[in-house]
Amino acid sequence: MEIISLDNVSYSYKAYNDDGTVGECIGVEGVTLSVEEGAFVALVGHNGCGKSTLAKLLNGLLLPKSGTVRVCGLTTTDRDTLFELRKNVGMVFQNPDNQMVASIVEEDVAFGPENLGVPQPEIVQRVYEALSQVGMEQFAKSSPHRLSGGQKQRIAIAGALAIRPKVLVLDESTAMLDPLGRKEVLDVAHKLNAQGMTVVLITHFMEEVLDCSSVLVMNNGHLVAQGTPNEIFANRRLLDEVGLRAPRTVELADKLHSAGFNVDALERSAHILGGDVCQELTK
Amino acid sequence: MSRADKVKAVVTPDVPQNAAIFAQDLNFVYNAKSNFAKQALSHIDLTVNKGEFVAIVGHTGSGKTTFVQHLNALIRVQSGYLNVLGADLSARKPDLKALRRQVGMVFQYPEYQLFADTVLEDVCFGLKNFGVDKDQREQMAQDALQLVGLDFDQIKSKSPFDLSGGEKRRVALAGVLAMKPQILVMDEPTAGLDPQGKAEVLSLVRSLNQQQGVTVLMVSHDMNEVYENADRVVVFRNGEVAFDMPPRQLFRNEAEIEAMNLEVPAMAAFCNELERHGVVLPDSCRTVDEVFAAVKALREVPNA
Repeated sequence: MEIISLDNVSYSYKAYNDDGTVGECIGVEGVTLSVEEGAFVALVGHNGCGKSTLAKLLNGLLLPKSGTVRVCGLTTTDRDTLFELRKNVGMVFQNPDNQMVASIVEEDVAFGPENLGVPQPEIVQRVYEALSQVGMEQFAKSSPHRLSGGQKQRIAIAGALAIRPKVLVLDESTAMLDPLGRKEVLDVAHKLNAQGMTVVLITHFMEEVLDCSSVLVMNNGHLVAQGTPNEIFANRRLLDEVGLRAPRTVELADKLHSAGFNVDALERSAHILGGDVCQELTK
Repeated sequence: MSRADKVKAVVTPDVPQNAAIFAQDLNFVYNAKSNFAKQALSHIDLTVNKGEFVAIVGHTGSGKTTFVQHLNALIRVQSGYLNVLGADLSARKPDLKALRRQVGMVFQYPEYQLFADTVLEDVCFGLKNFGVDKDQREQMAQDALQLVGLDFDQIKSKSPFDLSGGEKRRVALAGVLAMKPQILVMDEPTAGLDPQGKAEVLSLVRSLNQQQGVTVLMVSHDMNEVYENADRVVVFRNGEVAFDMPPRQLFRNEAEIEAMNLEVPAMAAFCNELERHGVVLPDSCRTVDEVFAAVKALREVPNA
């Protein structure tokens, strides 16, 4: 079932020119796409290509200048259902320190449901459920400021989960984390996805893209490609054009394959690739 | 020589001639004498030679940033000995002004520190504070902006806030490079950039290192970029130096690297696998292209 659908969506920002006139700066232009419920979609492209604009269009933080954005059957431009729509789309941004609103973890997670007017006993239940989903229940009474970056991002995800969304949008939520923190956040995202959550992951780490069910590639506000990670990484010209590069192991596999080695051109495991190469070298 | 100087001369260790940075038994405790006391650095012995490209890696909280902030005396030495470019930072009153001009510090997300109305003003700010006169500092700003690959005439009067993320980062870098530092200390210079932006910043840093002999100390979480660029990698763990060796050697210790929650770089994992099968590539092959060329050469001369 389709959960997100964009039909010819455009958005532009105001740009102030040197001479004081006001012009326009394209955010996204003519984007049409559809995401199935339960998918794990990666959204990639260089800095400033419109990824974050697209993310903000998904829950009506930005409203399209033209075209329509529908999530769970609701249109973002319909003011009467906008709050209903936002309940369905949880968002987590890049900087963990900018997303904490309370001085105790459980209060921070409760912020969303409190604003929705959820009855108190249910809030408590939702908060603990959300914290256990991200593996942070033992920190319920801690101060967020003493947590690591990965832990803070998991709290931010719990805050989104407490609203019980159907879609989780992670806008470069792993960019500021160390490798352990990134792994923590990604593990949680994949676990939620396995339980049925639709996940949209915006990232610059191509290794993270490998495990997604599909990839959307943006360039200068346009959606220029979509496909499985293998399809995208097999398309060298596209990657060069949009300034992305495949994970290093895949790059090496592709070069070896082209040079006539008997290896999978899209091999992502350095160990398997190494083993295959050795077999050929020691033949 | 006064008596105090004589006493000091006895305890001051011999600093190797070629050392840009020399630390011996350096310790640091945050919130000392309180319930929150935390030993951030313990018994750090570390030498960085002039012209080297050294990477510092380690899990969050391992002491990387604390160490790096010592280098231009943002954090003063609590105990132990630290010498940077001949300046004794353990002394009571080191010449901080001269030191800070020689040690360029690029923090995480340096573009958040842009503040001036125009790019030119922003890049000139440090020079102005060091008393460089107007014409000269404009010339130096121009050189620095050129160095980071930005068109001076096109960008000088723009507001730094109108630039793209990659451009902002390069302007921030230019502000540091304008002072022509001998040591460049960078805390995660490529974090948050797209792959192309990363490659641009790294190639700039490499060329400063190789062509102008700038000593580079780079903190990074990206083991692939560390592996491909650094001459030597220093691993911090719980405030101590756990490893200090060339990248190829370091990443042969897969189990230990993973136990510290660090990643094994892709090309290191590949070469390790080859070595387990008895195929050894030269230690200098660390990028995808180098590894590919070496493997291809082996196939062509199988018994070599």
